[in-house]
Amino acid sequence: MSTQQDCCQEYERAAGLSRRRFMQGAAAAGAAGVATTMFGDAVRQASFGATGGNVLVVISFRGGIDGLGMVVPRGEYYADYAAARPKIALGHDSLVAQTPFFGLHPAMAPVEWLFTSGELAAVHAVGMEMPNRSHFMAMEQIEDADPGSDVRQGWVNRMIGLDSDGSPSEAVHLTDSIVPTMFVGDSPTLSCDKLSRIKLSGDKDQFSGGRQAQLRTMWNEEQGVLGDAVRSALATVKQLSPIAQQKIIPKNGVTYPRAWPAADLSDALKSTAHLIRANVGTEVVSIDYGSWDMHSNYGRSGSGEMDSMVAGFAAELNAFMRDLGPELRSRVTVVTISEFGRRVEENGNQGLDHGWGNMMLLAGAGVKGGQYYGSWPGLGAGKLLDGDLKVTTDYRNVLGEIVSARFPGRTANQVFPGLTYRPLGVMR
Amino acid sequence: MTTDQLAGHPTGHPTGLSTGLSTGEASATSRRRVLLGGAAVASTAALGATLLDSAASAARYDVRSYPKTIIPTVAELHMMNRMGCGFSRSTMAQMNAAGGAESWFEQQLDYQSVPENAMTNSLLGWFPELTGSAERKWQRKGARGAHEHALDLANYTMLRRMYSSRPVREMMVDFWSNHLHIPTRADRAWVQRFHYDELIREHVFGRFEDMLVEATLHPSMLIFLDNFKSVQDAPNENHGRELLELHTVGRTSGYTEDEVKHSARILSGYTVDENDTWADTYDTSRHTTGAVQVLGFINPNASSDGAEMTREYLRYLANHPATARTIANKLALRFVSDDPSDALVTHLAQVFRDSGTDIKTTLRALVAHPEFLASAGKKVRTPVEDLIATARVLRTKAKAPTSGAAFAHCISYVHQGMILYQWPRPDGQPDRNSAWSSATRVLGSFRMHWMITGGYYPKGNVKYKKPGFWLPEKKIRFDVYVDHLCRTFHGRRSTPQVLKAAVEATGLTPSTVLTKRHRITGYMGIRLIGAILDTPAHMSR
Repeated sequence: MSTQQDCCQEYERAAGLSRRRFMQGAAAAGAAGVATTMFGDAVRQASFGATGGNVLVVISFRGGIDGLGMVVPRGEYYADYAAARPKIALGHDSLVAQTPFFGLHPAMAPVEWLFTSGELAAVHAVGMEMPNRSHFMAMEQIEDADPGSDVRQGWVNRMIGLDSDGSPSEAVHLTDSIVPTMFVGDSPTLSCDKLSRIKLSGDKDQFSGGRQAQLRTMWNEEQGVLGDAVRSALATVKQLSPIAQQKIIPKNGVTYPRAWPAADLSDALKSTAHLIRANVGTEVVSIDYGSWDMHSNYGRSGSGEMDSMVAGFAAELNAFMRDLGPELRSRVTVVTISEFGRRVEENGNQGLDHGWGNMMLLAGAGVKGGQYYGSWPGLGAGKLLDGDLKVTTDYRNVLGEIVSARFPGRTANQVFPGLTYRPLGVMR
Repeated sequence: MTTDQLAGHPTGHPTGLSTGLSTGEASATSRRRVLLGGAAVASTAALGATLLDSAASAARYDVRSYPKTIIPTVAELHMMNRMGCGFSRSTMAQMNAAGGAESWFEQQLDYQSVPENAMTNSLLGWFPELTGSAERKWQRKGARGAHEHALDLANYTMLRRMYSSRPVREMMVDFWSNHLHIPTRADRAWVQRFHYDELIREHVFGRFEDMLVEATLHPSMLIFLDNFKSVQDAPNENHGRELLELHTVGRTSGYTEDEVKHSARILSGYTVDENDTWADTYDTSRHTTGAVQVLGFINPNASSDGAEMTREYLRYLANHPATARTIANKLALRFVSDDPSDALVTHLAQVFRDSGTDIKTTLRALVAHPEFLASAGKKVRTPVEDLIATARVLRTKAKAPTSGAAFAHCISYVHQGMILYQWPRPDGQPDRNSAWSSATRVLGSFRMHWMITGGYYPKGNVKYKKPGFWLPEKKIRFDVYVDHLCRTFHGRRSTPQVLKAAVEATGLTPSTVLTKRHRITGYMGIRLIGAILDTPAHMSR
């Protein structure tokens, strides 16, 4: 009895976990006794085995991307789209990845091959159940993804908390050191602007052992979250730092373009591929890309902010997927998300104001690509809500389907409590 | 031979301060906390040994004291760490001169009675672009835009917090700027952001009511929260909503969506002379008329000039009991702990209301409350606060910047965390410890300590103390020196834990005798000082 308690307490300290997080871990492991084997790599390998090393890359298009400009209505849907946007509509035949009713922005040409090969799909008219046109509240809600609950925990944190591994490298945010809402919660995660930040200063030469020992002496018994953070850092840095400091050489002859506006995305995706190859148990990588709040200067094909932002995304995604190659692409799923879509009708500044319904792109492992999914509400008279594309698919159903398809043992409802789960069949 | 004899000084009682109340009296951190409650502890030398006699390492890591370096009392240290910008020798001297923690705090509230030092007074001159007119800033945005302006304000503010003789005022500027937050890079709002900063400074020790009216109607806020776009009969709801949710009554007050719309209707008409002077103006053609009712504020709103009604509305909200609760909660969260008692919050809210939203009166009630002292060390320093504290204790001296590599131009990001005032959303950056306690954050702060301690970065226009500077004697034992450094950097005695860490960091032994020729005055000194900064005592407040 007391032995078990001691070992649990010790584990808590070692892994830097709060009581609550530990209870979740223990529950997932099935028996408290398992805690003794939870240290270090043994468990990481075990959980790695369970998920087959699958990885989800979440790319956040912050600021509200224009879903109608990324996944553009064609055929009989086109007229309403073009009528609402006399100055900024894309040409019907300029689209790529065409089907009778939809196509992608022409600047997506570099990744059309993924659509053709069945590795890229999109869901349209997707978003939150209720419109919220405030950026920060919408971001908060869409990433918390647990309406009605006061617990401040993001969906990625819930997701990684479902296994017994307490390693912070399970979820890595590669844009800045601020923890995004989807990561907030009891399970340790990592957030950094670049992977190379994962490094302990002064940890070299003959002082290395002393450096680690010195920090352990000072922090091993420190109560509270800062103590947790240091223990978490020390537990991770030994394993991750050598990987994080390596010069990254992409495979398959790929060069990631590094031009505006996608230089940061270039670094982040290159690092992501590197991290995945390192097999350190990373399950979720989160990346922010772009500023999509285009109230003006939206432009059209070949010019303006939308075109350059989409072109940057397509170039980097292309590089990433080729860098991974077919084998790793069978483990890695990419999904995009944005807090809201934009108004159907253009405004007086050749821009688009805040809207509601949006699109999500899915690429890579498990995706039944080459198709557009969702239920199209239409853009014509009487079809919109306050001038916005309606949401017919709750975005949590898309994420939930990815989670349950790619991470066996975890269900959509564990990650998205209260969701009436209705998968679209976009995943195998 | 005693430690002090070795160090060449007779043992004696330091002047001015009672060492009996010093922090770091006991051994392990957890034990120290326990002791702080009944801090009037026994004589200094015996205590560490008594407490540690069960620990295996007791013999090796006995603390040896260097009492010549005086330290503040627990209450004094807590006051400067929590209400000021952190412990420093100069703040301690200031506190001594004032006659203790309480009288120092009182003096700080009456900040005009404290002469500002010449360096702080010269800081604005280091950032000439900050003070230009909004018009000029907008015209020059191609060369120097929101980004450069935002860094200027962060650098300037951090320098003030490092060097000002009025640290409590600087801390309050931070608190209120975060409560009525405008991100420094916000689209167009940035051109008036420095002016807004001056406004907050003016009001930090006044009445919240006055600050709220001025801040709400400031052009920077009107732009940031879109009120300047409001047009007649379709007012933009953003500002009306945030005013209720974030700045005053909070969501728990139970306002409805209709009341949000009414709030927006009241504010409509206040706009900004965009692309020209960027001043706030009132435009009756933009005001939406029609009766309004928000949480008991009632007005027929029949006139197209709603300017005076808006001011009445703001004063009404400032004095609403729910607002008192919001402010009391936030003050307690920042200055007491992550879990303040309901009794404390209720008490502060009551004082706030009874005093007519007087900030000084509320702060006095806060520091006088027993929970204040009991919360010593319980708040995590943000990366920005950590850098400020580091520069203060290491006595890093910034000089007027002559290039982008200057200390004064790099401190905004050298802490490797969130850049000051750049939290992207109107809710202000979080005050909870958990937000500042990630693995990468602590690695970033360790790296910052390393760079500043070693004088590696930033390199321009700055004077760092060399490691040898800190040696107080020609010859001193390592364990005594560690105690001296803890007193110098933490304002506390050494502990067996710190001594052990110092031994591990350097490979030296407690009895090693140090001189000016020892490598402790070089690279080894950087390791030792770094070890003393990479600690809970330095990274908490």
